Amino acid sequence: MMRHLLIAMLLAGLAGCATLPPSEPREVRLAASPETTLRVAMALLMDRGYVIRYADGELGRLDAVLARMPGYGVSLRVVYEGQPRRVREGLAQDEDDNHAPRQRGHSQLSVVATRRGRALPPAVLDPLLTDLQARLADVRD
Amino acid sequence: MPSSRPLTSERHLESHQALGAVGQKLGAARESVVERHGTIGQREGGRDPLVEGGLPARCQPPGQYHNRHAVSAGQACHTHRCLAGKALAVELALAGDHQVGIRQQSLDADLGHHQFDAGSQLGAEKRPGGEAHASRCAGPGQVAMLLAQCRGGDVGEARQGGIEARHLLGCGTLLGTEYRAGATLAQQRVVDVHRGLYPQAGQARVETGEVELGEVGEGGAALRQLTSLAVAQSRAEGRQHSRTGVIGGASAEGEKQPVGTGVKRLANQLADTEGGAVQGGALVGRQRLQATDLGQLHISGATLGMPSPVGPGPASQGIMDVGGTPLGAGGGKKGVEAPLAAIGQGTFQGLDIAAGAPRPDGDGARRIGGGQGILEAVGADEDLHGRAHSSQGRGSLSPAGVRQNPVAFIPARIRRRLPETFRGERAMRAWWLLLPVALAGCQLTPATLPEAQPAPSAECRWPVEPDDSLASAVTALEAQGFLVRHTDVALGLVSAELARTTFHHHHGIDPLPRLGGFVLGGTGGRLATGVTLGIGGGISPVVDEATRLERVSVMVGSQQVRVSRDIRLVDWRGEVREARSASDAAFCKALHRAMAGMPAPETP
Repeated sequence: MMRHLLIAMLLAGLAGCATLPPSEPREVRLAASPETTLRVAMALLMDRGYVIRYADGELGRLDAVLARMPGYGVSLRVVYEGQPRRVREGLAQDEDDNHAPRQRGHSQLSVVATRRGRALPPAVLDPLLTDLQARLADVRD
Repeated sequence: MPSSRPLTSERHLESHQALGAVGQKLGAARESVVERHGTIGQREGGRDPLVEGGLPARCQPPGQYHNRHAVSAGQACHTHRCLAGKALAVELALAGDHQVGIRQQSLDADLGHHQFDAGSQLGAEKRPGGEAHASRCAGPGQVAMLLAQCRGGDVGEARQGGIEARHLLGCGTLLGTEYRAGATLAQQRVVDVHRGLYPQAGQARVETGEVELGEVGEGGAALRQLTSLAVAQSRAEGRQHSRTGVIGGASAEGEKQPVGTGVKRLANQLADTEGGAVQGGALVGRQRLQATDLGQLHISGATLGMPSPVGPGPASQGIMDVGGTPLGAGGGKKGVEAPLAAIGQGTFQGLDIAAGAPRPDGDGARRIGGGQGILEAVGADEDLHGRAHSSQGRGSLSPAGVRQNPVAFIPARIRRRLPETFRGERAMRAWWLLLPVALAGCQLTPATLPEAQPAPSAECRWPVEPDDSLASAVTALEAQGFLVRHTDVALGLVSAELARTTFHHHHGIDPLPRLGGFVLGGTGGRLATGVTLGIGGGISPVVDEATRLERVSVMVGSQQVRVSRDIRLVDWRGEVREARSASDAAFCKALHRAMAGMPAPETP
């Protein structure tokens, strides 16, 4: 009987984690260029103790880790939003009068937070993204 | 209420005699039963003519029912009547006066004292409180027939105003609230209690109550009533089926629905009424009716507005069969064998079939099926109610039984195999205890993105100085032995790491040698040294060789320089033993100086 009970408890406990929903990246549209976004995001993460392991403004990627058991990570992917690539490369800047003057564009940011390599619910990123947006607004001004 | 004729036991007996065969076949009627009837009749006669036919039924204790349902309210009624009310309380709405006339004849033939009155159609509304009261509908020219034809009782006239179900049934229960909703689901059949009624409801759970019928002979009237009701119901079903499925459907709207829907059908229904020939079900003495829900009965009632053209008269004819063989066919229709005993869950499906009957005139069998279903429906009100509510979006879907039994969701087949310990009262509590265990699995998921604890030191962020550049940062890091892993000039980022071999000890104590010892000793002027090897005791902590990984990222921005650092201890298996954020002041200060070109201070 005891054995049954233990098995039941074990199964129940395992079942608790078996149903973690697959997390999707948290996506935000920002009124800033990918590079600016990355720069601000990097500062934000470092202020929180994250160590930036990799960042590339051209590719729009950033990976940061936090050495706190069992290990957390944040990955950012930024792409230009709403503009063809050639615009970003300056081949057709005259088409875009609104953004061309300051070389500022819109970027689509997708963020994934991981815990021991497994994605966390996107909701955990909301505070970070809120700060990011606020900081970007300041930077623009 | 119109004039009421009190019934006496004598009258009941008379009616029995009129029925003839019934009484004889049944044999000696028990006096006790008769008495019961008599008493009931007397009591009620004063108040409710309609109700008089109360069945000698054993009411379930009031506590068992939810009072929400008007029908179920056992307290309000006399115990005796409760059953009758549940089972019998069927309201039939007849349209047209002529119809009434016909009915009357039939009734007279059988009962002799039934009077039908044309009145307003009865609409039963279910109040939130659970009491049903009949509301009057503006159906023109409709006659509401209260079917509660009691034996010997006069049907009584329906009031022009709203009729209270209580009066009708005598039990104070109006049947019919349940089905009211039906109008919405036009095509669906009310009749199928089990599933058909509330398709949305999911699993419908019907509790069976037990109603004991008296001896057939004795309870003749009562039985008659039941059967007639059943018949009526069945007919109603058939009719609905053929025309428009009035009954089914439960929805919030249903409640509010005026009787209107019912009215529309009047013509059809009337036409069908003839077909209404009632089949008598064979009643077997001592049989138990499994009561399910009153609600169904209700349906047929005024609420739905589906007049159930029940020929009360015919029903009475067929009613009494002692042997369990169907007595007769009412109105020249087929006699249906519907031993009440047969009522079971299976019957419900039968009901479905019945509903499917294209024509009301269909053979008796179908109707019987319907009737059975009805009878079954009589008893358990709660569940249906619950379901009705849920369908309306107000109630909870969970059946009553599940509420307190966490194991209830386990299929019965599996549950039966569980050892007693998992099923008993205590086990129930134990099962609840498992809940936190199950939830504990996910407990560690953070609600927000974790941050370094403690936060990076203030020294790890300083304003950019002329000497600060990405190049100086890289140089300073390399000077400290860091290996630069990544740089991005555009962003001003350098990421480096430093790995050292160290010992990892599980207890936070400095590494100690595990083996070996040194012996010094001498005798007689000779001095000797030696080394002895032995196995240390278990006291010493276990120490593993490990790698200490230090990771640093420096960001030289346009305005500020930021440094973050962490340290991880990875054992020889590759597992991270320790991980902590190490953006401390000492390191950042040293780095700051190094970047500024100042030599690091000598450490003592």
